[in-house]
Amino acid sequence: MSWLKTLLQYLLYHKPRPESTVFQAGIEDKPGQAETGLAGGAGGRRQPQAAGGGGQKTSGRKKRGYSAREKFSGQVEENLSIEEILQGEVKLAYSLEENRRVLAKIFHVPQNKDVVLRSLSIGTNPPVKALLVFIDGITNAQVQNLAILQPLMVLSGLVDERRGAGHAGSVYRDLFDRVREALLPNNQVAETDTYRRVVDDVLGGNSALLIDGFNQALLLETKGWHYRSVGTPQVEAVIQGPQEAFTEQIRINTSLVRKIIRDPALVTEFIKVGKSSPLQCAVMYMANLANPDLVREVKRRLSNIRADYVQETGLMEQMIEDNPYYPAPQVLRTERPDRVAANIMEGKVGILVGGNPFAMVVPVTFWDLMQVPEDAYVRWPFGSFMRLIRYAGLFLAMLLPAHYVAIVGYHQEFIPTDLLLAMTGSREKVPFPSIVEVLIMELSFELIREAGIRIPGTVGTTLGIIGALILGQAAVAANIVSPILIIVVAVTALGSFAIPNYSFSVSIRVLRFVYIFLAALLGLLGILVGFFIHAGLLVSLKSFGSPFMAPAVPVMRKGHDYFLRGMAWQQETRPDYVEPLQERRQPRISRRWLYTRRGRQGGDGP
Amino acid sequence: MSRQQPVVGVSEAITVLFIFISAKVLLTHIILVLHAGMNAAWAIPILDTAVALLGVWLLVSLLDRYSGRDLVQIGEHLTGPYVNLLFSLFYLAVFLGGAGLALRAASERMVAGFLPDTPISVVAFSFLLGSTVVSYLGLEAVTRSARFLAGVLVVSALALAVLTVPMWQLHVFFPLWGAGPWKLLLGALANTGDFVQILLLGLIAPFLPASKIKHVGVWGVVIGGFFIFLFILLPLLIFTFPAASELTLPSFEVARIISIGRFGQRLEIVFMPIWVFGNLIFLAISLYAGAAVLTSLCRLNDVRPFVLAVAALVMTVAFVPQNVAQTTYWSHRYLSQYSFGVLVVVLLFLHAAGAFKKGRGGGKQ
Repeated sequence: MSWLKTLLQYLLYHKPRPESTVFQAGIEDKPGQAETGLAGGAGGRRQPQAAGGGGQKTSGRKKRGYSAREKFSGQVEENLSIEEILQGEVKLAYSLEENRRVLAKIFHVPQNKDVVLRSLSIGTNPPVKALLVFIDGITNAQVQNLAILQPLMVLSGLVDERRGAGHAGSVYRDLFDRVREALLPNNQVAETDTYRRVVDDVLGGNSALLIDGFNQALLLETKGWHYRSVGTPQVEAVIQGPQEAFTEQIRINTSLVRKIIRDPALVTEFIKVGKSSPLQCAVMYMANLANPDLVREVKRRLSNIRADYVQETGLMEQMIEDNPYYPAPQVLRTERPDRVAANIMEGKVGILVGGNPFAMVVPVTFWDLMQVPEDAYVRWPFGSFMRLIRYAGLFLAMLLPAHYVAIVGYHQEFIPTDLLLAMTGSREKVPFPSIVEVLIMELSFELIREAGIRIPGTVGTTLGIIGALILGQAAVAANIVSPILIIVVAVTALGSFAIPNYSFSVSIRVLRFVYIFLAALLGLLGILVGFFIHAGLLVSLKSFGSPFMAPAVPVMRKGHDYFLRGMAWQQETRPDYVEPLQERRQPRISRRWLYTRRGRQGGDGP
Repeated sequence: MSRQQPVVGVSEAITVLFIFISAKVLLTHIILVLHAGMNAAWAIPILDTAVALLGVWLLVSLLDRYSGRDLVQIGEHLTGPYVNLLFSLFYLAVFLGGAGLALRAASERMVAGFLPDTPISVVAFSFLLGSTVVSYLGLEAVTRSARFLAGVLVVSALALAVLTVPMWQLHVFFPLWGAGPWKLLLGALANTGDFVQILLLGLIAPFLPASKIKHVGVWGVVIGGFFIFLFILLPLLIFTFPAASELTLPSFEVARIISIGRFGQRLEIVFMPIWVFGNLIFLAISLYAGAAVLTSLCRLNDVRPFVLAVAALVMTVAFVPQNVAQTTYWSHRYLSQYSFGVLVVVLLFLHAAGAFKKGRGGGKQ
């Protein structure tokens, strides 16, 4: 009955066993060596071969059961001990050598060449041994030389020893105090007594100074990594308005916002996110406007992220959004400081992420995703008109191909006779049903778009145009698609480009295919049923507790800036859905000059 | 999607109530009103609105006296579980029967008007799918979806009226009383069940601002009455009586007759969102309300487990009638004629039980 057992082995589910990876070139080509290599890798724990074939197979399976953790158990134990030192907030030792040994272990020195453990003698009488720890490349060598090493090694001896630390009448408690107060002309100096803090600061670009005989370290501001300067917005360009965009440097980004909002109520709180590589996040809000519950919720979500690697705004967005299953973004990502500032002034909260030129704003509504800063920078009729065009673009991007499929397939009576004849004539030679030709063209267009982004800039644009033109022309000539479909696909693409938020635009592009399938299945009824479900999901969606479709539904106080753009002087109140601490943003009469006589003004002037 | 206590705003509640009341005008049902009122059938919804306002008054006074409870819970408190079970079965019959017959009628309409080659079961399933998903998402999703789409419905309905103005024949108003005032009154009383959907107010009241229940009830009934009036008046004005009473789908025929030059013909497809969204909202509300009755009856907190069960029941009810004519007849006979009277009796009984209990020291709770 062994054949039955074998058959059952194939048919029944078996939990897959992890196969160890053999990091040795060509070992799999040597007959018999791979198995031997595996066993050898397990520390020579290969079992003697059994006489029976079955026994041999069993032992073979067992042999493959070990993991890399067992193979490198020594290293795993060492990693665990490092983890214990860091997580357990172990205190620094008094002995400099002990501190050097522990830090070398944590930073994997000498294998790790980035980390520098610089020994030095402080030029006091008698000299005292010290250790400067930093990472080469992310620190400013000039600052280290002039503001740390030179004062400690050369200039410290120039100070009168009688007034030095430890002597009667000294203003310093001890040498450590004297070094911090008098010998380090550094703009920011902090103290710590744990390895963890030393490691965190050194990884952040600071330098740590440890002195023999003291169980404390001085953390010195020496950040000096290279970064991009403030440039123009790449994704959210405007014709009229500020031309500044965020950079990868979080401190520059916070300063860009603070440059716009010169109000002492603007608060910037820093939160570290992530485990292996903690990321600095700045939470910016107006203390006198933002709802404290909202601020608390933002901080709660950020500080409760438990992940190794959350280094990008997009990753962080996925960790803090309310409903990860819905395609629409529930966080506004922007590269424009003026947009962040405007939203903060409405009572929302800005989240700036270190190393990212995009900031997040929460909560966000559907209407926010359809707005661009330029709406506010042009006069209100044009701002409103541009928004209407954008909404039309949204409708076309999401529903136009589906409507084409529905009308061609199910509702021909809707098309006037002349147009119907023209369409039928153009489709006469096309062998595919409308759903197939739409999918061919839409997927081709998505391919061109994706390829256009990935291709190097110099040829990307050209290839995109050529691809679109030639592909469309050739497809029509080959009778694969009808000419009218080319128009449909082109207008759809234009519509999707008109959606100002990239994440939202992508979600609409994906949803378009759902609507196409619904249209193919049930015509316009399918589209409408799909839209009904879509609307149901949208109105149920929340962004940090605020309804996504507010203030339309649930009905809330509507300002003059949600669907269309109202006049600037009419925008007197802040959005209701963020429940700001101050409802009114400007008095009922904001253009007071209308009510002030010309003669009364400037009466106190020269 | 939230499991928290839903919150329904006044605007959403009014919208959901008026759509729930007036969605039936999109189906064949109104030709039976035309039969009852003849050329003065437009007066029937006006009279029925007045009667429905009395029903709202009865209902709201009960809800106000026992605020924080829905109609099922009040019934249980006042009459005990056994009598209340009978009342609840009546509520369920209104919601499930109404939804099942509406589903069948709407599906038949879609097949007849737009999808002649599609099996009716597929069309009915698509309607049920959309409404089930939204009602599964909860009361907030149902009411907010209704509010979100109300603009489309109202604008389309008014456009339907405006675009047919050139075809109106005003002589249809005469004789003003139709077959006579008495017959008109009897016709109105026979159609009071068109407003039995005020029952919904009794189920969503705990989620409304306490002081606004009457406001919601009154405005929901008035706006709903206006749309019933409009959709009875339009076929009368365009096709006149008795031709209008012979149409199978009056609102469809009204849309179909619109002509704006050579290019703007056969515009009924443009008005398809009215029929689809109107019926989807009606079904979603019915499913939620049916599930809410069962939830209250079983003293549970979450309506969602019952939504799928109610959807299955509605689908079953939808295919009980043999054809659309029987569907329309049953809808008129069992829902539009008697249901409002039964509701009034139930409400009066509950008032009497409340008064009796108060007299015995039960007091207000």
